[in-house]
Amino acid sequence: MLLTAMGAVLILGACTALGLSARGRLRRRIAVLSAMLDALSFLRAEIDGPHTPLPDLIAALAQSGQPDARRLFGEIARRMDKAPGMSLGYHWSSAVRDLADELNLGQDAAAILRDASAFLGRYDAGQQLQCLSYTAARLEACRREACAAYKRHGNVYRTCGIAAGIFVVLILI
Amino acid sequence: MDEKNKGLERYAQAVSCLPPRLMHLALGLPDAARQAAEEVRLRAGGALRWCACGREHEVAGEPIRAEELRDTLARASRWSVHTYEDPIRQGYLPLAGGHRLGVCGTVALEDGQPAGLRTVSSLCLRIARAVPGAAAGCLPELMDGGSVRGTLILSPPGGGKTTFLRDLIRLLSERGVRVAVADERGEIAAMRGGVPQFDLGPACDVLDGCPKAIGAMQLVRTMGPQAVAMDEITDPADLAAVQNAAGCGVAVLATIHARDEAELGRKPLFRALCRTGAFSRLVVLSVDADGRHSRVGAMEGGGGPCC
Repeated sequence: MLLTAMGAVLILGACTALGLSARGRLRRRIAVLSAMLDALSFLRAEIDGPHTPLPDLIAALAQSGQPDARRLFGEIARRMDKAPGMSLGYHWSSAVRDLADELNLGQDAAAILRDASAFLGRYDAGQQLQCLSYTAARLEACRREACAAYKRHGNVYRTCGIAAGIFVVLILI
Repeated sequence: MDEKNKGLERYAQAVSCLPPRLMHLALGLPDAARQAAEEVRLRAGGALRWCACGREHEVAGEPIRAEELRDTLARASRWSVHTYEDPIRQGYLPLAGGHRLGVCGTVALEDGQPAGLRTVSSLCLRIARAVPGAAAGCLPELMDGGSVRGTLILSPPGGGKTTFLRDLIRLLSERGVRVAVADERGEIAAMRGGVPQFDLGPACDVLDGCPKAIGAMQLVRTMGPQAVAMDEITDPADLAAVQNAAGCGVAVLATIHARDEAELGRKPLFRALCRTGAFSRLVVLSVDADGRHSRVGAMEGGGGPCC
């Protein structure tokens, strides 16, 4: 009896965890997109105001308190140090591509960020600010979609997880 | 390190701003060419070329694409073209080591003023080199006992004015003359972390990145120099700085673009310079097939032979 009860709890817990994990992925996507939008805001402010060089901005973001930004920009900074002959756009694009799954960016947001590599550091401040604003607007749309998906599906995933656990337990018992 | 290796190292440092394909072409030149090269020229649709003593030499290879020029500009600015908007508007980009990238293309205007470059059509990479002893032959005529005479150095573009001025500063500084340098474009001293990358002697103070007109007066007020050096007087605003420095009893060492005294005499800016009375010596630099030459002329009473 005790074993049956333990098994039921474990099955219920596992299914609930699966539901919560799916919900957590949706929430994490919102967090990572927010972090990228914050990073773009920082880039825009620094390019618009003190005209800070991009490698310095990337180094600053690599020390950011936000773990996702720290991971992505730390990786870009590391690649720039390792292969200084390659362009900043190449390092930016390849780092986003390689970390997209790890950061749970999603294919669309990763593609938007990779598009930014075509203009970063290559044009004057006005043109770069325009492009960064366009990138930020597209990312913001992704974030809104992610928020909507979280609202729509987040609780459903959690509830489905718990319900699936109960269903399996009932069938097995 | 001997002079030859230093020259090759400076060449390699200058061409490191080129995209990989062009950099390999530039580094593939024979040692003698790399050592002699004063400029590397890049034109969209044309071959890579290097220049020495005013002559251009082609490097065999695929024509340069316009995209490679834009890439060079981005690399040279450390992927931060926005940081160097002001100098790029003026047509150049200062590089580490005192090298300079001249920029040419289609200008975008805003309120009638250049606001940036829409396209880049050609680039001129000027390689900065120290030539120890370049000014040694002229030095006795540029000094009056222990003091320095106001000296104007003239040559056409690429004639070695900056190299001569740099060596003159070093020689004076080594003789105990306190020289202050208003290094607007960072080409004379090539400061890095507060340390000049060129040898300017032990008694030299450098203010770089500041417009000459402001920088020269600031140096006179704060550093107590016996001579103030500045490169390329091209702006009427620089005249006031020359006049004020000379009025404070400081010798002015400056350079100006002109082929010879006759051409110089036709420049309104030079006539105004003469009226400041700041200069008593004129150094004329020239280049021909035999190499570089310099001669010193007098500008008695602060006026040149053509004033």
